[in-house]
Amino acid sequence: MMENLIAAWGIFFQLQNIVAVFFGMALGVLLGAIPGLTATMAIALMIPLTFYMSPVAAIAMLVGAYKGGCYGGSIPAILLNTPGTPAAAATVLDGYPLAKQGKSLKALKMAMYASIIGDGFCDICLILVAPPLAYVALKMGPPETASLILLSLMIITVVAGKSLVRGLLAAALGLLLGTVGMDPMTSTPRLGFGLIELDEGLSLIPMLIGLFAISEVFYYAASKNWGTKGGTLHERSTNPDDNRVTGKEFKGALKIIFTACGIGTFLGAVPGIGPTVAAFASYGQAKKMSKNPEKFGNGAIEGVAAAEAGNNAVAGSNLIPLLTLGIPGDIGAAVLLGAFMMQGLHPGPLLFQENIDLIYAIFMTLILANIAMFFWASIFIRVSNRVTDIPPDLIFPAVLVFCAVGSYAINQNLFDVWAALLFGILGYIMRRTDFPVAPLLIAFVLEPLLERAFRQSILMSGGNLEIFVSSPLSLLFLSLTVISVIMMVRGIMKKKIVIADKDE
Amino acid sequence: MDVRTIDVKTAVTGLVLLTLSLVVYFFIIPSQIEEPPAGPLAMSPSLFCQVSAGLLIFLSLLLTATGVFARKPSATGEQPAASKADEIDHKKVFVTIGATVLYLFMFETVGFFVSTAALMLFLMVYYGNRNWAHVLGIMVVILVFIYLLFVMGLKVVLPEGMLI
Repeated sequence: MMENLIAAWGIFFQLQNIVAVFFGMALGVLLGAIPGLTATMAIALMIPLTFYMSPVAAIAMLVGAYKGGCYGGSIPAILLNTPGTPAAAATVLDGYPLAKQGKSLKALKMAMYASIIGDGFCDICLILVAPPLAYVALKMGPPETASLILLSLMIITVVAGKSLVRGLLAAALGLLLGTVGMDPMTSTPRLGFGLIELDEGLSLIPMLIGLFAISEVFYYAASKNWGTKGGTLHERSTNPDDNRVTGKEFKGALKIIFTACGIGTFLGAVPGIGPTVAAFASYGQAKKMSKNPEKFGNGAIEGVAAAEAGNNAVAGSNLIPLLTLGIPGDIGAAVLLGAFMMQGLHPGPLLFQENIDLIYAIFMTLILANIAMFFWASIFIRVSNRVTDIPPDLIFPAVLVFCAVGSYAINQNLFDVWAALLFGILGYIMRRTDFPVAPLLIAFVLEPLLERAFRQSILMSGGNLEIFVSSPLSLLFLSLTVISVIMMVRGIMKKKIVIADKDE
Repeated sequence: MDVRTIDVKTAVTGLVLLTLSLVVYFFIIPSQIEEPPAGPLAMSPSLFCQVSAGLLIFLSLLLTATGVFARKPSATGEQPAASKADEIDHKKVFVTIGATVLYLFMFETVGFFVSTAALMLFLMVYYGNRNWAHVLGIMVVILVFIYLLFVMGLKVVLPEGMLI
């Protein structure tokens, strides 16, 4: 083993590998920070550049871009209520309220620290426990997958809003919107209204841009304070403690960060789940663990920490099923799989036997990527925080334009821009009627996986729903779902009793 | 002491959602999805659509009931006056939406850069900014950034239309 490590160090410690990591990370953070452009797009754009590079440099650049994109989405999420990536929608819940309180730098810095810790944690897990973790993750069949997704949806619905019924309604609407397009099993067109553009279903990015970014523009437009001369987007606090993460806050958030890392690492190893669910599941758990759960949704720094740690912990653990079994965990990992194969590497069990030096060298680039993230994040935070000094009447028209071009850039089709506008109007109406937007987005993302797992389970059991309770793992997830609903309802009843007692 | 009252906003929202859900379940789904002649239930393409729409119907009923049987604390003393931050300017929202719709119509007919410049100019001035140096400066910076990133960097072909 020592010989392999020394050989790996010789492969890794070359200037082109180090430059590749830093370049990939910079581009990943930049593209992740622009709504409409994602970590996956960053990787896809870089693949042609990697044709002339060595395997380690190529993989280093792509992994750097992937990790940078996962982090970059938090910047507009905190400053503009506009998640740069779907997973950053969880960061919005407390990041944006913190920015409105003048604590944008505090939120940005906590997002950076949590991202780096989350990334580093999952890299260590990848190096130490990859094969057994992949084995457990792949023990999950359709019934277990369906139950896990149901649990994830319930957690997200419970934590994302004040009203359980409204949250469930938003989730149900998201599930319905997710069925638009071709049926995955019979290829029958569904709810497309004869439009060719809807044959493959609604696109996620226009929905994300519309629900969060465009609706925010309309929400701000409705405020009578817009247009006040000399106003800035957010008044920055003059208290120095509001512009940094204090030692006490960091120590207080550490337990939540490591819990989120564990959740993100496990969920990232399950193919198909992805960083969005991990971010929200971590956020939900953080709220349960917090001494001040009532602060969540109103600017709790632990909320930002949990969401970002969970989100970034997926970036490394996504590589676990990829490297050990050749199964990509999400779209980003699927693009990485293509890049591996173009470099002559075939992920799977044999990879660890035939190319162990290369694998160790790639692990070393993952560790270096965390240092690159700290370097670039520190720069991007200082630059992007200046955005809050610009008056909203200048910022929001620019945001609207970026939303339009970001939606258009996906398929170079105006239909996506119209879709973003319609979702913007829907998002605005939802916010005005106190409906949380996050459950709709998450349910939409999870619908294909949930539907496939549910229908496969029904087919396997011949129509018998007992299949969902006959597996111990599935039964565990379903029980946790029921418990989370009961606890939410109990919480609501307790609040009503407390208010009634106060009146008396 | 709690007083039973009707939360009109919640009840009306519930009723609107209930109506829409019923339309989806009974009209849109059967007309938009062709069922195969025979086969197991799990193979039905409309199964999950019906489950989702059914959930919407049930939850809309629940929301309506929540609004109809709401309990609010009885009013004691004066109600706090609504702050300026709570006031909503509907006209600005409609104008913003209208300007965006017009922008999308101009997107491909006139061209991306001209229509984008027009939209940004209109919105910035409509929302009260009269510092032309800032307005024009931001507009130029944004357009140049979009050109460099999307057109030169990402090779996105932005529509040219009649102008640019």
